[in-house]
Amino acid sequence: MSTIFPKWTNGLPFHMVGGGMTALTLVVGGVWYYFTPAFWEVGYMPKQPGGGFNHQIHAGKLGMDCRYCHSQIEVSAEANIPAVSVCNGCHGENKLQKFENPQHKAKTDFIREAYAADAPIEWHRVHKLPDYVRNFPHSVHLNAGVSCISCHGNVARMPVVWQQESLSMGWCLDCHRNPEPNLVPRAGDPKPGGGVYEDMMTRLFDVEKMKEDPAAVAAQGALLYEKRKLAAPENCGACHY
Amino acid sequence: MAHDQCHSSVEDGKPLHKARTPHELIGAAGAKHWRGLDDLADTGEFRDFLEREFPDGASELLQGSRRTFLKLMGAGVALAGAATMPGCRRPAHEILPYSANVPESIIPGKSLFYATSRPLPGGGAEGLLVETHEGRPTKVEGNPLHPVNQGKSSEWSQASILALYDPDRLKEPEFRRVGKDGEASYVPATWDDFTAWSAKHFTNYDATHGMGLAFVVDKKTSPTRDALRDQIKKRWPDASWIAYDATENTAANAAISAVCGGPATEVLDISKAKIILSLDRDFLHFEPLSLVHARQWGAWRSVMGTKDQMCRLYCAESSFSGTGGSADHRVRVAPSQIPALVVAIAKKLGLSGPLAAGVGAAKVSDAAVDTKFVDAVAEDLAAHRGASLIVVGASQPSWVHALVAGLNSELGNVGQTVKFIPAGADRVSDGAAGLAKLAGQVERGEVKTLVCIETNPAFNAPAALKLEEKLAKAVADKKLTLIVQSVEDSETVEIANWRLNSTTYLESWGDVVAADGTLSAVQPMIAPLYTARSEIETLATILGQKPDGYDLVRSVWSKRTPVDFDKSWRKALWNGVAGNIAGAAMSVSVNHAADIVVNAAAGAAPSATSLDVVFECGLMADGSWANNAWLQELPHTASKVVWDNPAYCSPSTLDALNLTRPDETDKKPHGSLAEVTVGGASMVIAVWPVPGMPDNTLVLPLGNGRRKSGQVGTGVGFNTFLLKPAGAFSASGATVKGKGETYDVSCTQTHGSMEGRAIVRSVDLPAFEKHGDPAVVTTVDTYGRPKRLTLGERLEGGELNHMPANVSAYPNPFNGTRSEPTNEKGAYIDPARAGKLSEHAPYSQRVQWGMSIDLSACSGCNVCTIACQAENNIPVVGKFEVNKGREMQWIRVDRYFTGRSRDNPSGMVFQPVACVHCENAPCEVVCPVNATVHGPEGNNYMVYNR
Repeated sequence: MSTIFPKWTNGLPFHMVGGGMTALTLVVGGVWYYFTPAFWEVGYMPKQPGGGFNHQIHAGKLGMDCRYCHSQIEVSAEANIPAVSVCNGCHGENKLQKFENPQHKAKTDFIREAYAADAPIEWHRVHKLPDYVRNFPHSVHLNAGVSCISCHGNVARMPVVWQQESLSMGWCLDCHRNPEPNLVPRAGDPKPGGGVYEDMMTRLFDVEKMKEDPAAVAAQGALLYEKRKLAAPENCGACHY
Repeated sequence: MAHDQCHSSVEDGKPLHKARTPHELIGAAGAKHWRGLDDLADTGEFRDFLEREFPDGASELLQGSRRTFLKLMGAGVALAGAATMPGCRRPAHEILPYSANVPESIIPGKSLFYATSRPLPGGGAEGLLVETHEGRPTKVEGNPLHPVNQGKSSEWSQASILALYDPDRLKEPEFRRVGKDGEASYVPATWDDFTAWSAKHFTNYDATHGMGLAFVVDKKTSPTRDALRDQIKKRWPDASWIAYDATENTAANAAISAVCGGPATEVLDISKAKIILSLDRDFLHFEPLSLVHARQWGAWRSVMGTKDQMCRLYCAESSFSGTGGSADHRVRVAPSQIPALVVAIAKKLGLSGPLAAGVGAAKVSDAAVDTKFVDAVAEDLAAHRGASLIVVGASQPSWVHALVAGLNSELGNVGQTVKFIPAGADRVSDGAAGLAKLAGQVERGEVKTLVCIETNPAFNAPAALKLEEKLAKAVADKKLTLIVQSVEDSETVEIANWRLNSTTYLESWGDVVAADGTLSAVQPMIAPLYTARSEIETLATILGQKPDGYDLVRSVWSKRTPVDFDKSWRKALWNGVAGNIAGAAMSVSVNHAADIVVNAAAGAAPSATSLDVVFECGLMADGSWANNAWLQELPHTASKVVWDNPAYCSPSTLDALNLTRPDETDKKPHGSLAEVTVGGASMVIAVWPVPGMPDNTLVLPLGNGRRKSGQVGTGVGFNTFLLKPAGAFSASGATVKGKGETYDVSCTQTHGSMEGRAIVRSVDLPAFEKHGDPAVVTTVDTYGRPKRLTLGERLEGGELNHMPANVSAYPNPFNGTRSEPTNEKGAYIDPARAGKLSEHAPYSQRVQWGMSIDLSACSGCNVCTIACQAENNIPVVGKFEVNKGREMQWIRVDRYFTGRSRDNPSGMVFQPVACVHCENAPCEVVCPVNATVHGPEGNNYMVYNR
């Protein structure tokens, strides 16, 4: 009797089952890993006008307070992007000698052009939460003592801003369930060795240093949590309303 | 009828106080409160309807075919695709900060409130505070500093935000061009085009002193517009200026002006009125000062203890209005029979002097009046001189208004509960007479240019004038240049030579005087959308002036306050009020009133072959709100009909007319179509029964039936202006002939019924005084603890209706029992985070939220429903979806009729029903997607995106 199916087909069902299971595992694993904000969002670094506002220079090298430009962040839910007039305060005509230098001047011309035309500069949005996370309140988080760095990464080291954290709901909840490590002292809070902090900014960039001793950070955070009578909400309606 | 008892204790003339059981005593038993005719009759179909949970067809996906569904879904999928496709990454998003000029006081993410005011079409204003986000108005509230609003606002103000963003608005000026083939088309233009054209066009009228020029405007009480009117009259003395409002109360204006000896308007002070007699007037709703009336009325009705006094409201009316429903004693009287009632009361008051003589001479028979009602009212009015008030509605002829003004004067009420203040000429002018003259001039070709601003005479001018036809013909024959300015499309816009787009009050500068004389500025929240111009800017354009609303208003105001004007201007803008500019109150001449009353005559009682009709001016006003979907879906106070305006009559009249009664439990409740003929005009309209209407009387609501409006308003309901006589709101001698056809009516009155539970209960003062105090029963609270209840609490909890005790069906979510964990002393222990401020404390230990609604004060105005809709941006679903019970408003105002009579219920009870955010919410247990969850404070809420 002639064989219709060659002998190797005997193993086919097993290979199919095995292959199918492997494929399924890969698909599930792939979706699990890749269909997440952690994969898609982290590292997002769009091209910005004028090559981008260099936070590394301004916040890092010059040590400017974040609130010099994001001035209403402590009173409003929205973190305001500074008006062109704020940029122009330093970079405008006859403001700083440095910008008379042609090399620097070319880089910052777009500011003066926008100012002269009273036109906005079209910055590209980096951090974006979905609409149904209503009005993510920057002021509430800041006033509770959460450092900018906890959500935005150490912007002072970023020549052009990228997205450091996933901003997923799980990531939000991680902190809401255990907020202590992300709390930094504000002005007036006591220093562990005596004295008080003068300003939040003085501790802002210590967050990275603080990570070297997580136990101390958590202990201090727990103190702050109690002192400020915080209650990081975990109910749905806190954000989705 | 004894007047110390309110309706809940008086049933068909027999007091219920002899009732034996507390159930009957407090009116909680049986069908004492009912919502519709089927509910009252307790038909088998109605019970089926209730028990089915959802009406027939509620599970059908959409009105329309599967193709419609696929079409809609296709668009949805395409939209989703467009949003997600670019690079599998979220779409690039720009942030545009402010530039060199940063607006003062704007903080992105924070709302700002600005004071403004909304001119009311018939005259008067509301003072408002408008919430804006980065320069965009989002919500309208009442201005707490404005004496009319005092923080409250009307349904129209709430809905006005929808009108601002209406996509159907006129977007640019257009002019009519007739091609070589004789076909007319409309060519888009700009305002500069119109300015250039009008400069040339209107200069031609300088030579004729304005002969051949006419203006039709609405009855706004705006000093700036008055100033422009005076300039127009100065430049073109022979031009005609007609201030027309289709809902103007011509009879009252004429009578009050005659009695006061000059143009005057009435201002009520209900806070001083202990006895109020309302004759067919819904003074709590739909009037320029209704908010004031409702507030003063509510203050009387908020009884906190047995010592507090209430005012007493007698109501004789021809429709069942919210005011009638709120009345202590109400009689239903056909409009033609109300004069007889007033005359009977006037005679019974035992007055002497000219007015009594005039009343005696009037040819009005008071033989058929309800003598018990008349005796009680007359006794009460006479006993409360200076603290009583008689008001009369638009359905009544001029002499009744004069008589009532005279009676108020004789009773010493003028200056106490009612005063008369001088009114602007535009407000009290007879616009209908003006239009009648205009129609003739248009027909004869005497008017060459007609400017219509914010009015729609082609729709709502008296139908006998056939004004639309005449205007269209004159335009087609090139005998008339018709310039129409409007926010939205309308019948008049359709035939115009120039279609000019107008602004709403939220985008334009202006000023307005409220009906009580309060002057306020109209301050824009946003630059005009579609570069529209406002009314005053258009008038300035026609006059060849600079069309700048800000300067126009300031130039008029600066004449009023020449000293330190900038300071007073800024203060007025900040407060939203610039003081009361009403003239001194006018006195009432009883002799003048008597002269008018002497010649009075009244008609015979209506019959099934000669009915009375009353025109009701409600939510749609003169038709200008027809394109507002929120208002269209707001149920009518008495009938609960939405998206329609059928004729209303009593159930007995419906039977007498041989019209079929609608089955409210049907999938599509049908009204019977009938041809109504009155005064030579006739129209086909659906007829719908409403309990409490006088027999042989039809109520015809105005404002719907727009032939040309936007997507929402076009073709909704019936155009009852076709029957309305000029200058009157009622007519006699109507005939009704059934067409044998049915018409779908959407009505929410049976949606959400009591299903045997006495959700609404009423108790009158004698019963409250007798049974209000003692603790009478021991029961258990929600978690099983014993509790002593007073009668009041039993009423609240439902025990008197043999309902089981209100014990939770679900265990305490924190410990699986029905009681909370406590220590040996009975104090609460938090098992989760002892010593810490935790959101996991049981509800009774934490903040408890509560809200109560004073049902004694509720007059069923529905503003809460629309305010909730505006605040939460709740969608409308349309007429046919409402029929399936799919209306989405989060607050509904239930309306129950009281008493056992189908035709003559003793009252109407309103009960607003909102989401109560239950601690043990049944919706939470069943929700498959966790869209409804608990907050840390024990209240239930929605997660929108789920």
